[in-house]
This record gives sequence, structure tokens and C-alpha cells, in this order.
Amino acid sequence: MRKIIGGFVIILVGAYMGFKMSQKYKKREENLNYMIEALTIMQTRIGFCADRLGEIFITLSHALRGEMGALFTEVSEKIKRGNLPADAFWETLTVREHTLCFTERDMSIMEELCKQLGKNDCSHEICQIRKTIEELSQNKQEAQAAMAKEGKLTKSFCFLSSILLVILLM
Amino acid sequence: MLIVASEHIALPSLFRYLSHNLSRILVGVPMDSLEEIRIRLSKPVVLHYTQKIMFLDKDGGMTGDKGRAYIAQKSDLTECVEKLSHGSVYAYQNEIQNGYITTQEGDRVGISGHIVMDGDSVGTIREIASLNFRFSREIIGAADMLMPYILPPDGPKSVLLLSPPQCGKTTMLRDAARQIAMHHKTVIIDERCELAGVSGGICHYDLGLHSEVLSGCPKDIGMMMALRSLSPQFMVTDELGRTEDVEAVRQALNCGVTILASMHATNISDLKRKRGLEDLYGLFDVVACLGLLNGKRVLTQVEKPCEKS
Repeated sequence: MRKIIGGFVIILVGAYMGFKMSQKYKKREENLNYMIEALTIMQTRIGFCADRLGEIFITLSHALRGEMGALFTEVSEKIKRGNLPADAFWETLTVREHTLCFTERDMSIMEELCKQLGKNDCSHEICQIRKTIEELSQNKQEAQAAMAKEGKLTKSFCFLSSILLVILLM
Repeated sequence: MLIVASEHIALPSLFRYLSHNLSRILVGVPMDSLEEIRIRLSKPVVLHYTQKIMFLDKDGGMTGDKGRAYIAQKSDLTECVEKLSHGSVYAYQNEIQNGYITTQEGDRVGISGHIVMDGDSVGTIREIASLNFRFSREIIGAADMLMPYILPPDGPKSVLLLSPPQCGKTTMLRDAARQIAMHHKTVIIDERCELAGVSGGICHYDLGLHSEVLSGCPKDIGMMMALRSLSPQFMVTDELGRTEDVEAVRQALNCGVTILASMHATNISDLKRKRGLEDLYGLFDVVACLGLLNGKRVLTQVEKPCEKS
């Protein structure tokens, strides 16, 4: 009886781990989506209102929720402390890279944007943001595909591994 | 000849817009009569005081020895521009096209470099080669000697204030606007955002209870807007200089508004020699010239064209 309960617990933990690990694919897709939304707002604010980046980050911190909202709140606080907006944005992104489940490719796209952000005239800023949105949209599609494929694979792998472990232990 | 009341000047707030290196070595530099800091790429940083010119010492403080002066690096200029634009150069595009950035405290920073044309107008300035930090001042009482000409017992008079650069025209105009707006509806047309120092809709300077500010707006357009919608008794504007401004002043005066304006000119003869602007002399009730005498601001010449004619 004890063995059956133990085996059941191991399978349950394995399945939970698989579920949790597959969540990072979903989280990446969600956060990429939020980032695209944020950049779209930024593009509008720069193009039509000529708002400064500091003001835009404050707007974004109110407009977005969850981890992305927290990211922009932290950026706004850093700007208030005297950091330059693009530097504060990149610094916060690198700190939260793993929480956001961003990949190296996502980060290199964002790095490219942060290097240019706030240093050009309006049309160049908009071009740069538009380019970033396009690249992130491609990554989002990849993330969706990965979520469907690798997410299931991870869940199945963990579940089957836990069953195998139970068999071996018995 | 009248002498202005002694000045009480607040410490300049421009330090937070300077590069890390510059703000570090500027600590200890006397600020009392500092008027400008000129940062030119690969050249010594120059400090312009009211009565002397000094260099910024590379070890901190100021020096008269050019050999000991701090040489401005490209990174200093880049950092300053980033800080001045709050990391958002595009938001200051219009100002940069006009060759300056105005800080939220109303201090103006002149920019020079390689001009990129966009059709017939200036597109932007790249490869920035120099920055000129000018400290704006709020001196309560600076316009005391001018006020009897603006508000004499027989009713308000339009006054044109002439002066060469660096004599305190804007400071005097700002204080006059404050004194006028204590009792009269006043519209301040602040094309270069220097007079009122408006940031986030709030004036950095005290401009009186009854004042409205149109900032960043060309003077001629601003005057017409104010006439149509703000029903001012007084209009105050800085640095008239285009023929369109003359026409706008004429229209405003025809509408019964009293105008206080300033203009770059050494004296009244200089004004009369300025092509397209000479008509201004006959439009104003009083034309006054501001100059420096032993470091003190004085009205060197006052004429009343209406009485003359």
C-alpha cells in the first residue's frame, strides 16, 4: 500500500513538474505579446504626442499588468532616480530576462532597440520600434509553435519519466 | 541713468544636465556671477562670468591657465545632450532644429554642429561640436526701473526693451511680466520657452496671478491666438526679430492691447537701421535701451516716439 501511494506521489510530482516546465513556453509567448503591445503604445506616443520616454514608461507601467507591468514600473522608478530611459529599460530587462522567459534571440532584438532608443529623431525612432515589433512578432509565432510542440513534449516526457522511475523503484 | 536693485540669484540648476566628468570637476566653482558655460569639443571648457572669463580646471575649480584647463571630450557632449533631452532626443526635435534645447527650468542650451538640411529648413544637428549652457535668472525687482514707463499714472504704455545679448533683457522682461500680471490680464508668448520656463504646464518662474503662457509658439501666431481667445490687456514677448512679428505687434496694438517686448539692438539708432524692423520704433510708446555699466544693469537710453512725433 505504501509503495502504491509513493508511486502515485512520484507520478503526480513528475506530471506537475512537466506542467510547470511547459509553462515557460506559454509565458514567453504571453510576455512577447505584452512587449509588442507596449512597443505599439510607445510608437504611438512618440509619433503623435512626442512624449518623452520617461513619461511613456510611466504610462506603460499603468497600462500593462503582471510581470510586464512590474518591469515598466521598475524602469519608471529607475528613471525617477536619474537613470537615462534606454539604459534603465535595458538594465531592467537583463535582470528580469529569466522571469520573462525571454530567449537570447528576444534579448538581442531588445538590445538593438535599447541602443537606439531616444537617440534619434521621431521618424527614425518609429522605424526602429516598428522593426523591433516585426522581429518580436516572428519570435512570438515561433514561441506559439514551440508551445504547441515542445510544451506537450515536456509534459509527456516528465510524466513518462516519473512512471519509469516508479517502475524501476518497484 | 537708473541702476537695478542688487541681484539675488539662485544657484543654477543646470548641473544635472552636465556629464558626470563635468559636474564632478565643476564642484567648487563659484556660481554667483556665472553666466555661461561653453563646452567645445577638444577645447578647454570656458566659464563666462559677468566681468571675467575663466577655464574649468581639470582637477576641479576654475583657472586662468589654459594649460591646466579641462578639455571637453566627445562623451561629455553626448552625455550632456542625452541628459538635456531626458534620453528622448526626438521630443526636442523642434528645439534642436532651432539650435537649442530649453531645460525645464527655462535655461537655454545652444547647440552647434553639422546641420542636416531637410528641404529648405534645418532637419537636425548631428556631430554636435559645442554646447553653450546659459543660466537664466529670476531677479525679483529687476524691472523696477522699467515699471514707471510701463504703468505710468496716465495709463499703460507699450514698451520695447532693446539690449545687446547678455545684458539681462529676458530677466528684466520676466520680472516686468510678473509685476504687470499682478493686476492685469497678461499673455506671455514664450517662443523659446525661456521666459516662463514652462514644464508640464507649470511655470518655473513667478509670472504673476493673472498671466497665461503660450509656450513654444511663434510670436506672430501666438499674438493672434491670444487676441482671439484670451482677451489680454497686456502681451509680453521676447526677442522680436522677424518682419512677421512687426505686423503681429501692429495688429495687437490696433486691438487695444498693450505690449511689452524685447529685441536685440545696441541702441535706438541700431533699431532704426534694422531692415524690416525699423517700423517697431514708431509702434511703441516707449523704447528703452538696457546696458551694462560697471557690471550693473542700467537703462542707457529712453525715448518716447509718440511724444517726439
